Formats: sequence, C-alpha cells, structure tokens
Amino acid sequence: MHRDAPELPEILRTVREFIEDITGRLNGQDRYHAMCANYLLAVAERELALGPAVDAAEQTAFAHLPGDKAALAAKIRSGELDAQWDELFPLMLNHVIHKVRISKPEHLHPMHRAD
Amino acid sequence: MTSMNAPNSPVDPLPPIIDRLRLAVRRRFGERAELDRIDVATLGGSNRTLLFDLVEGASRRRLVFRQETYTLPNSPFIAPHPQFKLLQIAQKHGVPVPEPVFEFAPEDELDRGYVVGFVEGETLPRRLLHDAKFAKAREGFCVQAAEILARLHAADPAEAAFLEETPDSQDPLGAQLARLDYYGEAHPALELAVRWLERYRPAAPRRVLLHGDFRVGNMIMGPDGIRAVLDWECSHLGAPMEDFGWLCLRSWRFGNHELPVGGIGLREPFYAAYAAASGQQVDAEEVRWWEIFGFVRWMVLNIMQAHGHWSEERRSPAFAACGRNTCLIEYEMLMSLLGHYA
Repeated sequence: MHRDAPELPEILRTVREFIEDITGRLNGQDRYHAMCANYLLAVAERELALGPAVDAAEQTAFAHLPGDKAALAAKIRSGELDAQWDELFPLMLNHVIHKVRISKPEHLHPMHRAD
Repeated sequence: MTSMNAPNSPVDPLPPIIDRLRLAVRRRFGERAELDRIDVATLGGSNRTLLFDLVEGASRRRLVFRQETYTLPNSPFIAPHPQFKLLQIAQKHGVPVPEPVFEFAPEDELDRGYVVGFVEGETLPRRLLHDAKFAKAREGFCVQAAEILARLHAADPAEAAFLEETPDSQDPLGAQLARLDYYGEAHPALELAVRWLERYRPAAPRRVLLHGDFRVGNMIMGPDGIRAVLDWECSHLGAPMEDFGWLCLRSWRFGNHELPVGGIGLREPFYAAYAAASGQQVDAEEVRWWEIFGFVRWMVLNIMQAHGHWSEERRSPAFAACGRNTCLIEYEMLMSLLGHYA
C-alpha cells in the first residue's frame, strides 16, 4: 500500500486549508458555499480518523437488532419493536452520537463528549 | 423582500426578464410606468428575486419581483399562485405581510410568480437576536408573534380551501413520512420519534389556517418589531399548535437555547398573549408534541436537500452539508424526548 506522500488525511487538510484561506476574499453565495465545502472536508477528515472505530462499535451494537438499518427503521415505524423501546432508545442515541461526533462534535451535550 | 446585499451577479439572463417585467408593469400601471434601481437579490436556486422601483411620474415605489425558476419533484412547497392568495388572505386578517401587488398572467410570459411591496428591515437571526438596535423589538416579540398567530388562526379555513389538497393539510406526519420514503434513506433513530408521535397524537384539535414556517429568519423586523411575515410556501391547514412547535423548535433558537420562543422570549408570556388574543388556552404538552414533530419535519427537509444533491437534481455544497447536518437535528430530537432539552 505504498503510495507517495501526501496521504489521504493530509490531502484533505491541504484542500481545506486552501479553501479556508480564500473564503475571506469571497462574497455572497461563493463565500457561503466555500464555508460549506470547508465543513464537508472537516467532516471527511473526522470520518477518516474515527470511522473505523465507529463502524466496529456500531456492528456490535446493531448485531442484537433485526436486519439492516432499513429493516430496523421499518420495524420501529410499524410498532413491532414497541416492547423493546427501553433497550432500543439508548442504542439509537449512541448511533446518533457517533454520527454527530463525525459531523460536528461540539454540538454534543457535555455528557456525550468524548474528551 | 429583505435588506440583503445584492451580489454583483452577471446580468446575462436578466435583460429579457426585465423587458418582460417592464411590459407586465405597463399592462397594469400604464404606458408611462418605468422600472428603476433594479437589484438582484437571488438568482437561481429555486427562485429568482429582483428588487426594483416602480416609477409613475413623480411617484416611486420599491417592489419585489419573485419568480419560481425550478419546481422540486415531490416538493413540500406550494406554488406561487396559492402563495399570492395567502398573502391577500393574511393581509385581510391584519397579519403584516409584504403587500401583494400583482401576479404574473400568461401574457406576461414570466412563468409563475408575483410582485409584492418591498419592506425595509432585517431578517438575519444573528442580528435580530443580539444587536442592541433590536432590543425593543425583542421585548415585544412574544406578544406580537402571539397576536399575529391569533389573527391568522382566526381566519376561516374555508377561505384557504385550496390548501385542503396539500398532503400536510391531510396528515402532517404522514406527509413527512411519504417524503422521507421517497428520498430513500433509512433513519432508525428518526423512526423512534415517529413512533412516539404516533402513540401520543393529541386529540383532534380545531382546524385553522397555518403559516407553516413561522420563525425568526422568515420575518422582516425593524427596531419597532415584526413588520412583515414572509415565506408562505409551507402554509397548510391544521392544528394551531403546529405553528407554536415550529417557532419554539430548538433549531430556530439560533443558539439562544434558554429562550424557547424563537431564541428571543420565554414560553409563558407567549402562551398567555395567545390565550388573551384568541380566547384559546395553550396546552404545553401539545406544543411539545409539535416540537418533536418539528424535529422530524426539519430532518426530512434536510434529507430532501441532500437528496437533491446526490441524485444530481441540483448539486451544491450547501445541500451536501444538509445531509451531514441531519444527525444534529436527530440528536436534539432524542435529547428532547429524553427530557434533557426543553
């Protein structure tokens, strides 16, 4: 797996830093879209760093649940899992916390922050 | 409609539109009517908005041209024609709106849209919530917002019978789920809230005309208070507390979480002012139900934007970001269901 430097996280950071650098010189919609692009790159960087651990944790958590994400969603909607509500809720909260940790970790309540 | 900084966009697509607008204006205001001081507010996306002066001899009036440029498939937004009618209805009932001036007709060759009066003021939540200039407006906000909603909700819903057919008038939760399923991305945690909503649906309430998107950002305010309520494209018929739940949604407090009413005020004076103006008591539990519903709806709207992006219908970094923002709403929704957020 030897590719030449820079590695993927470094590439993402390079592009993000460049966009950060020019954002201040943009106006209107371009400026707004540059800020969104920055945000997306930061998400990608966090996903690259945290993704494998999150995926492993989710696999374990979801192993107790029926089917894939779509099947689970359908069963919750139909009421089939109402009896398991108390066990399901913390699992789903954890699942969402994992997503937020990648999207925008500072959005989490202090009780759910990793550090 | 707002005091935005008009970007200096290239004006290439504009000259034919401006020519047609001039003709449309002359059809209604006479051959000597002129357009002046034309500014581009938004160009593209799903709307085109221009600001212009209508000049008739010595008199001059600032107006706003709004044209639909793109209709989303399975759109949750109503078309320009019913929007225009709603402005007329709202105005009649004393709800402050930009004055509806005229709608485009087929001979105008301007597609779907209308012209309304320009209202001077501020729409940016950050300024409205924090600038000293709006301190007095904030002080009166709860009472003013409550009175506006009471007036709107007092309108006979039969006047807006054309809204009966919008899915949100028939079953607001069902309408969200139909859209969610169309976008084709499963959200099991979102479904927990959906299930909660199904299990604790409030008793059938009185049916009123709703604004549907009543929040800071969708109203023009001055130092004196609310001057005009904008963005009627989500209007439908339903339970009055739906408008309450949306205004109080944590996402619309813009970081001022301790001030549930739009990030500006407390619940008690808002509820009390509505009760005084409408004669209807506010049930806090019902508002809470509509806030949880609001999270679901706001998630579905973000999923819609992301879908528009990845399905290649309309690509944009902003819409892509909406996809990854959806979990932020989902998190607040679960924290609210747990009682950690109120």
